[in-house]
Amino acid sequence: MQRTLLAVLGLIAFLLIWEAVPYLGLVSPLFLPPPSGLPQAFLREIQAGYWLKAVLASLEHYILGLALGTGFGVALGIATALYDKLDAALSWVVRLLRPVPGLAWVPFAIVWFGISETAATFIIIIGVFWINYYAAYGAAKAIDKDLLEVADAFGHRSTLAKLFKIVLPGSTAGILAGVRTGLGQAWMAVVAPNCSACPALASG
Amino acid sequence: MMQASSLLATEVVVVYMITIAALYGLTDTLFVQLRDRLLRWQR
Repeated sequence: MQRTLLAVLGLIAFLLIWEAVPYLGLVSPLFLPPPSGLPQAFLREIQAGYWLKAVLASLEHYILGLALGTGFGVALGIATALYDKLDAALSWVVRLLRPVPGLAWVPFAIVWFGISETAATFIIIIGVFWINYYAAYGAAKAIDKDLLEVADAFGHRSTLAKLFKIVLPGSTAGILAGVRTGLGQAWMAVVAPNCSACPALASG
Repeated sequence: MMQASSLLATEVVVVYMITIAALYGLTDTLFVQLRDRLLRWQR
Protein backbone atom coordinates (compact mmCIF):
# COMPACT_ATOMS: atom_id res chain seq x y z
CA MET A 1 0.00 0.00 0.00
CA GLN A 2 2.82 2.38 0.94
CA ARG A 3 4.63 1.55 -2.29
CA THR A 4 1.51 2.33 -4.35
CA LEU A 5 1.08 5.64 -2.51
CA LEU A 6 4.73 6.54 -3.13
CA ALA A 7 4.40 5.62 -6.80
CA VAL A 8 1.34 7.88 -7.16
CA LEU A 9 3.07 10.73 -5.27
CA GLY A 10 6.18 10.36 -7.45
CA LEU A 11 4.07 10.55 -10.61
CA ILE A 12 2.17 13.61 -9.35
CA ALA A 13 5.44 15.37 -8.44
CA PHE A 14 6.83 14.59 -11.90
CA LEU A 15 3.70 16.04 -13.59
CA LEU A 16 3.77 19.16 -11.39
CA ILE A 17 7.42 19.87 -12.21
CA TRP A 18 6.71 19.23 -15.89
CA GLU A 19 3.73 21.64 -15.78
CA ALA A 20 5.71 24.29 -13.89
CA VAL A 21 8.66 24.46 -16.32
CA PRO A 22 6.72 25.90 -19.31
CA TYR A 23 4.27 27.75 -17.00
CA LEU A 24 7.14 29.69 -15.37
CA GLY A 25 8.55 30.51 -18.79
CA LEU A 26 11.72 28.48 -18.28
CA VAL A 27 11.06 26.69 -21.58
CA SER A 28 8.69 27.56 -24.42
CA PRO A 29 5.52 25.38 -24.47
CA LEU A 30 6.45 24.55 -28.08
CA PHE A 31 9.59 22.79 -26.86
CA LEU A 32 7.93 21.25 -23.81
CA PRO A 33 4.13 21.08 -24.03
CA PRO A 34 2.58 21.20 -20.53
CA PRO A 35 0.70 18.07 -19.42
CA SER A 36 -2.47 20.14 -18.90
CA GLY A 37 -2.74 20.57 -22.68
CA LEU A 38 -2.45 16.86 -23.41
CA PRO A 39 -6.06 15.73 -22.70
CA GLN A 40 -7.30 18.24 -25.29
CA ALA A 41 -4.76 17.05 -27.87
CA PHE A 42 -5.69 13.43 -27.05
CA LEU A 43 -9.40 14.13 -27.58
CA ARG A 44 -8.66 15.86 -30.90
CA GLU A 45 -6.73 12.80 -32.10
CA ILE A 46 -9.53 10.46 -30.98
CA GLN A 47 -12.28 12.53 -32.62
CA ALA A 48 -10.32 12.76 -35.88
CA GLY A 49 -9.96 8.95 -35.81
CA TYR A 50 -6.16 9.12 -36.04
CA TRP A 51 -5.45 7.66 -32.60
CA LEU A 52 -7.32 4.37 -32.97
CA LYS A 53 -6.02 3.88 -36.51
CA ALA A 54 -2.41 4.46 -35.37
CA VAL A 55 -2.76 2.19 -32.31
CA LEU A 56 -4.30 -0.67 -34.32
CA ALA A 57 -1.62 -0.41 -37.02
CA SER A 58 1.12 -0.32 -34.37
CA LEU A 59 -0.36 -3.32 -32.55
CA GLU A 60 -0.46 -5.32 -35.77
CA HIS A 61 3.24 -4.68 -36.44
CA TYR A 62 4.10 -5.17 -32.79
CA ILE A 63 2.42 -8.53 -32.27
CA LEU A 64 3.71 -10.03 -35.53
CA GLY A 65 7.23 -8.63 -35.14
CA LEU A 66 7.45 -9.65 -31.50
CA ALA A 67 6.20 -13.19 -32.16
CA LEU A 68 8.56 -13.79 -35.10
CA GLY A 69 11.59 -12.06 -33.53
CA THR A 70 11.10 -13.94 -30.26
CA GLY A 71 10.49 -17.27 -32.00
CA PHE A 72 13.53 -17.03 -34.27
CA GLY A 73 15.75 -15.64 -31.51
CA VAL A 74 14.86 -18.32 -28.95
CA ALA A 75 15.08 -21.13 -31.51
CA LEU A 76 18.53 -20.09 -32.79
CA GLY A 77 19.77 -19.31 -29.27
CA ILE A 78 18.86 -22.78 -28.01
CA ALA A 79 20.17 -24.47 -31.16
CA THR A 80 23.57 -22.76 -30.87
CA ALA A 81 23.73 -23.57 -27.16
CA LEU A 82 23.03 -27.25 -27.83
CA TYR A 83 25.26 -27.75 -30.87
CA ASP A 84 28.86 -26.62 -30.39
CA LYS A 85 29.63 -26.88 -34.12
CA LEU A 86 26.70 -24.60 -34.99
CA ASP A 87 27.83 -22.23 -32.23
CA ALA A 88 31.35 -22.13 -33.68
CA ALA A 89 30.11 -21.71 -37.25
CA LEU A 90 27.85 -18.79 -36.33
CA SER A 91 30.08 -17.09 -33.79
CA TRP A 92 31.52 -14.50 -36.19
CA VAL A 93 28.29 -14.12 -38.14
CA VAL A 94 26.65 -13.14 -34.84
CA ARG A 95 29.49 -10.74 -33.99
CA LEU A 96 29.16 -9.18 -37.45
CA LEU A 97 25.39 -8.68 -37.40
CA ARG A 98 24.69 -8.08 -33.69
CA PRO A 99 25.96 -4.47 -33.46
CA VAL A 100 24.04 -3.27 -36.54
CA PRO A 101 21.35 -0.94 -35.14
CA GLY A 102 17.72 -1.44 -36.12
CA LEU A 103 17.60 1.96 -37.81
CA ALA A 104 20.46 0.98 -40.12
CA TRP A 105 18.26 -1.82 -41.46
CA VAL A 106 15.54 0.62 -42.58
CA PRO A 107 17.03 1.29 -46.06
CA PHE A 108 17.43 -2.47 -46.61
CA ALA A 109 13.91 -3.13 -45.35
CA ILE A 110 12.61 -0.67 -47.97
CA VAL A 111 14.76 -2.19 -50.75
CA TRP A 112 13.79 -5.77 -49.84
CA PHE A 113 10.14 -5.36 -48.93
CA GLY A 114 9.21 -1.99 -50.40
CA ILE A 115 7.48 0.68 -48.34
CA SER A 116 5.15 -1.79 -46.71
CA GLU A 117 3.84 -3.29 -43.52
CA THR A 118 6.35 -6.11 -43.96
CA ALA A 119 9.24 -3.64 -43.85
CA ALA A 120 7.98 -2.14 -40.57
CA THR A 121 7.53 -5.62 -39.10
CA PHE A 122 11.03 -6.60 -40.23
CA ILE A 123 12.55 -3.72 -38.21
CA ILE A 124 10.73 -4.97 -35.10
CA ILE A 125 11.90 -8.55 -35.73
CA ILE A 126 15.52 -7.33 -35.89
CA GLY A 127 14.95 -5.33 -32.69
CA VAL A 128 13.82 -8.28 -30.59
CA PHE A 129 15.74 -11.11 -32.27
CA TRP A 130 19.15 -10.51 -30.68
CA ILE A 131 17.81 -9.96 -27.17
CA ASN A 132 16.01 -13.29 -27.30
CA TYR A 133 18.92 -15.01 -29.02
CA TYR A 134 21.37 -14.12 -26.25
CA ALA A 135 18.86 -14.73 -23.44
CA ALA A 136 18.00 -18.20 -24.75
CA TYR A 137 21.64 -19.01 -25.55
CA GLY A 138 22.79 -17.99 -22.06
CA ALA A 139 19.92 -19.78 -20.32
CA ALA A 140 20.42 -23.01 -22.26
CA LYS A 141 24.23 -22.92 -21.83
CA ALA A 142 23.78 -22.52 -18.07
CA ILE A 143 21.95 -25.84 -17.79
CA ASP A 144 23.80 -28.13 -15.41
CA LYS A 145 25.66 -30.82 -17.39
CA ASP A 146 24.86 -33.32 -14.62
CA LEU A 147 21.16 -32.96 -15.45
CA LEU A 148 21.88 -33.94 -19.05
CA GLU A 149 23.78 -37.01 -17.78
CA VAL A 150 20.82 -37.89 -15.56
CA ALA A 151 18.59 -37.62 -18.65
CA ASP A 152 20.93 -40.05 -20.42
CA ALA A 153 20.77 -42.42 -17.44
CA PHE A 154 16.97 -42.37 -17.52
CA GLY A 155 16.92 -43.19 -21.23
CA HIS A 156 16.20 -39.71 -22.60
CA ARG A 157 19.12 -39.84 -24.98
CA SER A 158 17.77 -38.05 -28.05
CA THR A 159 18.32 -34.29 -28.47
CA LEU A 160 14.56 -33.74 -28.69
CA ALA A 161 13.96 -35.59 -25.41
CA LYS A 162 16.69 -33.62 -23.66
CA LEU A 163 15.29 -30.40 -25.12
CA PHE A 164 11.82 -30.96 -23.69
CA LYS A 165 12.78 -32.79 -20.47
CA ILE A 166 15.79 -30.73 -19.38
CA VAL A 167 16.78 -27.74 -21.53
CA LEU A 168 13.45 -25.97 -21.97
CA PRO A 169 12.18 -26.43 -18.39
CA GLY A 170 15.59 -25.46 -17.00
CA SER A 171 15.99 -22.37 -19.15
CA THR A 172 12.41 -21.06 -19.11
CA ALA A 173 13.14 -18.32 -16.54
CA GLY A 174 16.11 -17.02 -18.55
CA ILE A 175 14.21 -17.19 -21.84
CA LEU A 176 11.24 -15.33 -20.34
CA ALA A 177 13.59 -12.61 -19.03
CA GLY A 178 14.69 -12.12 -22.65
CA VAL A 179 11.09 -12.11 -23.89
CA ARG A 180 10.23 -9.42 -21.32
CA THR A 181 13.16 -7.26 -22.42
CA GLY A 182 12.02 -7.81 -26.01
CA LEU A 183 8.50 -6.57 -25.16
CA GLY A 184 9.90 -3.09 -24.48
CA GLN A 185 12.42 -3.20 -27.31
CA ALA A 186 9.63 -4.06 -29.76
CA TRP A 187 7.70 -0.91 -28.80
CA MET A 188 10.86 1.14 -29.37
CA ALA A 189 11.23 -0.56 -32.74
CA VAL A 190 7.59 0.24 -33.62
CA VAL A 191 8.48 3.91 -33.29
CA ALA A 192 11.85 3.60 -35.08
CA PRO A 193 10.42 3.76 -38.63
CA ASN A 194 8.44 6.83 -37.50
CA CYS A 195 11.61 8.67 -36.62
CA SER A 196 13.72 7.66 -39.58
CA ALA A 197 12.48 10.06 -42.24
CA CYS A 198 10.27 7.38 -43.68
CA PRO A 199 6.69 8.45 -42.99
CA ALA A 200 5.26 5.69 -45.17
CA LEU A 201 6.61 3.13 -42.69
CA ALA A 202 5.16 5.06 -39.80
CA SER A 203 2.35 3.48 -37.90
CA GLY A 204 1.88 5.96 -35.09
CA MET B 1 3.71 10.72 -34.64
CA MET B 2 6.03 11.49 -37.57
CA GLN B 3 3.46 13.82 -39.13
CA ALA B 4 2.91 15.51 -35.78
CA SER B 5 6.64 16.05 -35.24
CA SER B 6 7.08 17.47 -38.76
CA LEU B 7 4.29 19.95 -37.99
CA LEU B 8 5.92 20.76 -34.62
CA ALA B 9 2.70 19.61 -32.93
CA THR B 10 4.71 18.58 -29.89
CA GLU B 11 1.65 18.00 -27.70
CA VAL B 12 0.42 15.39 -30.21
CA VAL B 13 3.88 13.77 -30.19
CA VAL B 14 3.67 13.53 -26.38
CA VAL B 15 0.16 12.01 -26.66
CA TYR B 16 1.61 9.20 -28.80
CA MET B 17 4.63 8.83 -26.48
CA ILE B 18 2.25 8.32 -23.55
CA THR B 19 0.12 5.98 -25.66
CA ILE B 20 3.16 3.79 -26.32
CA ALA B 21 4.13 3.93 -22.64
CA ALA B 22 0.59 2.83 -21.68
CA LEU B 23 0.61 0.02 -24.23
CA TYR B 24 4.00 -1.12 -22.95
CA GLY B 25 2.73 -0.98 -19.37
CA LEU B 26 -0.25 -3.11 -20.33
CA THR B 27 1.75 -5.70 -22.28
CA ASP B 28 4.42 -5.89 -19.56
CA THR B 29 1.84 -6.34 -16.79
CA LEU B 30 0.05 -9.09 -18.73
CA PHE B 31 3.39 -10.76 -19.48
CA VAL B 32 4.49 -10.72 -15.83
CA GLN B 33 1.22 -12.43 -14.85
CA LEU B 34 1.71 -15.05 -17.56
CA ARG B 35 5.37 -15.57 -16.54
CA ASP B 36 4.47 -16.00 -12.87
CA ARG B 37 1.87 -18.60 -13.83
CA LEU B 38 4.33 -20.43 -16.10
CA LEU B 39 7.08 -20.50 -13.46
CA ARG B 40 4.81 -21.39 -10.53
CA TRP B 41 6.05 -25.00 -10.66
CA GLN B 42 9.60 -23.86 -9.87
CA ARG B 43 8.67 -22.37 -6.46
